[in-house]
Amino acid sequence: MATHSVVDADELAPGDHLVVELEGKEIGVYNIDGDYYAYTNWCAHQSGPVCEGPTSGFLEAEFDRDQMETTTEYVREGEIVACPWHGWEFDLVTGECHSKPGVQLISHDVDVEDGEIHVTV
Amino acid sequence: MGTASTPSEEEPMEDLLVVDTDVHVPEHHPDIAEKVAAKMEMPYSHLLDPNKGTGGYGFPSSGSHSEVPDTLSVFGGRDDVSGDVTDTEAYIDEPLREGFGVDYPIINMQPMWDVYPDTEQIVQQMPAANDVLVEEFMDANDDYFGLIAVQTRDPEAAAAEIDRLGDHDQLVGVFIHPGGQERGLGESRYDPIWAAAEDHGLPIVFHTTATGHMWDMAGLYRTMSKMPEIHTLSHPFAMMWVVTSLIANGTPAKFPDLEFVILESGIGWVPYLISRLNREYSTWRSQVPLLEKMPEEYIRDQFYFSTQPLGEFNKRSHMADMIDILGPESIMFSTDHPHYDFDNPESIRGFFSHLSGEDQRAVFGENAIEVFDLPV
Repeated sequence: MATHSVVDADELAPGDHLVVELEGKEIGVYNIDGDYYAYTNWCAHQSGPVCEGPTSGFLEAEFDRDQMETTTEYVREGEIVACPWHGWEFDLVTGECHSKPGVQLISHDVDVEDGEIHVTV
Repeated sequence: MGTASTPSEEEPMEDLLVVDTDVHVPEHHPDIAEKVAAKMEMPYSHLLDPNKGTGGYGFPSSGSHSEVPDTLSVFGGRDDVSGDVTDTEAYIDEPLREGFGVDYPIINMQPMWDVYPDTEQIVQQMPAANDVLVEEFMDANDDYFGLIAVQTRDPEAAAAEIDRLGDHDQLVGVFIHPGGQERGLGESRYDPIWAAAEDHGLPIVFHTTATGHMWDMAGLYRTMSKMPEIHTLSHPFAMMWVVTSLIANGTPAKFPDLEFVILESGIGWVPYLISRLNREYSTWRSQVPLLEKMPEEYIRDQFYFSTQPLGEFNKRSHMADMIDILGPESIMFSTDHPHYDFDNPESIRGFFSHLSGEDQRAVFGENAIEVFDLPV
């Protein structure tokens, strides 16, 4: 395990992400509302470059059985990434896959030291 | 086919309790159509009476009911027993219960009302037919069970019919014929039907017909000239449509206590559909936000599939594979009595012989007893 400085923190604004190569692995680094997350750029489905996919939120739906109505709410904008190959969606905060239970992104520790973002791989 | 059953002194299926989930008393059979017509108002009481009008389908014709496309005459079947459908001893007890060892038949009238053009007609015909089912069949024998048939074009009327009959001890499910619907059955317009069934603890039973499915895929069936083409595809196509529509619109998630039973389509197509729905769900999850788990889990938790017509692989072990992938907990036995593609329980039970005794009892009876909550 080694820690690498990847970018100055002020160059990765909230909502931004970048993909860097560390020790031969592609790593996606995300700034979500000031918190940093890093994941291997690899989707467990068919090895797609997940961190190159679009980020979004998702719809939450609820069915009111008494009113027989379904209401939806769009939530968590910027916290979901979809793999550009087959659309599998992952939660960038937890690394969990929303498209298939039990699947996880491979995560890496991220720290900010002296104004630089450090990722441990 | 299957294990050849050798004639013996023993009663068939004596060691196994058998519930047959698909026994037909066709609503359009002239014996029954006459009784249904008598319960309807004019002009339907005249139009639908095979002795006076055009017969069960309610379409204009030259006036001869013999031209009505009756599945018994068009598609063959056990003509030896289906002459007088309302003679339950000759039609059900002797051939099915004594002959095949069925203990409890679940009887349906296999109406295909949603393909009929006249909404007022089908809304009237629905309770009339269900009353005939009760009077002629449920009242004939306490060991008979039946399905409340509903049209879907007027979902509120269907829900009212479920409310009207839902507490009858022998009416144990709701029968819907996929074919002719205006929209996919998962759309919210049909929710009153699911809500009524769930409120009464009744499973929804889907059973299509080749004729009815042609309504939905007319362009496809126009290309076909042979019965093996039409009948291979009609039932599984229709059921793939139904299951897919329900899953894609979140119906099982909206009604978590509701169970669905698919009849007359066999079981081999189900593993394929499960795997494909899983894959599509994973790709398009954001479009089906009501689903809280994989399609496979909804299907394994809330759907059941009847055996007949059990597909026939050349290699014996593939029969076991087909059964094992779906799993005995999701399978229910059915004969389709009296139609030409019926399955004889003695003949097909050999394909289930690799299962434990408990699993065999589940397939041939216990699953149905539980899902239909049969008071036996």
